[in-house]
Amino acid sequence: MAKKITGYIKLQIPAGKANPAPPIGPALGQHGVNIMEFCKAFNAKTQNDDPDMKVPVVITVYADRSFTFETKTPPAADLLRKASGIPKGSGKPNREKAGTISRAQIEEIAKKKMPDLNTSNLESAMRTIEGTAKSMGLTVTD
Amino acid sequence: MLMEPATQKWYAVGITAAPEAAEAVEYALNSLDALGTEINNLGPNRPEILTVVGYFNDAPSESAISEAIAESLSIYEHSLDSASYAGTREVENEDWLSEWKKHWKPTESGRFVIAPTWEKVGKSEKIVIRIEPSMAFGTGTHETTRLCLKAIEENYRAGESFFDVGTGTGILAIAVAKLNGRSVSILACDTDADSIAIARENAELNATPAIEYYVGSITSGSPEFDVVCANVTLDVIVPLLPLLIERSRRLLILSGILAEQEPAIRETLIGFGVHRPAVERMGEWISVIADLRSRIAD
Repeated sequence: MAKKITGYIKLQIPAGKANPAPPIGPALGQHGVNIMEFCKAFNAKTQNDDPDMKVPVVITVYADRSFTFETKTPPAADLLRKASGIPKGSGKPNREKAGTISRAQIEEIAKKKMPDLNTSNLESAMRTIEGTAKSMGLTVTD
Repeated sequence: MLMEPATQKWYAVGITAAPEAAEAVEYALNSLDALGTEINNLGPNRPEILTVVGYFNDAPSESAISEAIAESLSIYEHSLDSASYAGTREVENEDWLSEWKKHWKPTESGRFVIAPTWEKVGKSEKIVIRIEPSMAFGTGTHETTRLCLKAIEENYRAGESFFDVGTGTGILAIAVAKLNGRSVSILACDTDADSIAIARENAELNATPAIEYYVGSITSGSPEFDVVCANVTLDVIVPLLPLLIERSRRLLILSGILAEQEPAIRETLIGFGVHRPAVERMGEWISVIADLRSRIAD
């Protein structure tokens, strides 16, 4: 019989650097999770990822306080911000340009995001990423 | 593992958002340099409005928060009313493991029983290890701790000196001390000062005063030991491997390694002349036990 689920929690935390401080401590502690065990497992799974990027992770907690978790790729906007070197997006993309990003960088991000985008087509994934880039005020260059 | 001092305080910024705007809010909080973000109550019965919480060392101003949310909603093409600032509260440092501890029961691992300080353990042939975990790693419930305890039970010979690198609660060093009828040289280190303080308290609880501790890692100045154990993670183990091998006279026990990382650790060990380590698996974790005398023979 499937175990009863008592909580779904989504965190965004730096890759490979989980520790019991917030957000992990308060977010998981209230569900009775052994926080140190989550930190060890998360750090082991994300140790090769960029430590400057926050990794989305969805944690499922069961009635016996055991847990499973699934990491996702960082949001496209965060990957674009990192790749283009801008501190943040424009928010007024038609009036203020935040910076530039190359098509090759768009392709690299699209490949990284493919597992979480509902497409197996690279060109379609690139169009999605390019759309986000434009919304952020990034000019795409060849 | 890092642990903040007891006086540490954080700020939790709450933003209410429509579920489809949650990622935009996370982006806004991250653009303000949040330590991380949290969304609780996801799942099938999630409420219509979610609360996204960003944690900060220093509270951002309300105007900076509002501006970041507005910009982010614009980038994600959501309407401005799909998220709004709900307030900032202070978060005091506390024992976030307390809820888990309420349900923690003694755990058997081979000849050992690992028990919380507050639980009674009936008379048995088992060796009882008392642990107060606080915020250090090693309560005997995790596969990597159990794999190391098994490796110690099956391979450690009474009288051998032992070095525990990344000791956490001190559980492995205490296990070795308890297997010895007489005093032997046992050293334990951890880069986290709080873990060492917790490990010292646990040694006292278990009447194993001979274990020596220090804050730090294995170094070129560390002495040699018959058995060296490191239950950390692969990214920590690999750069330390030359020293771990050099300082082990007989046996090296490694864990904190995922099963999918077995080829990587095997390949790295081959580079140091260790060709046939014993590998044990428990769940998705493995331990690697290398008899270094065969390395010399090779």
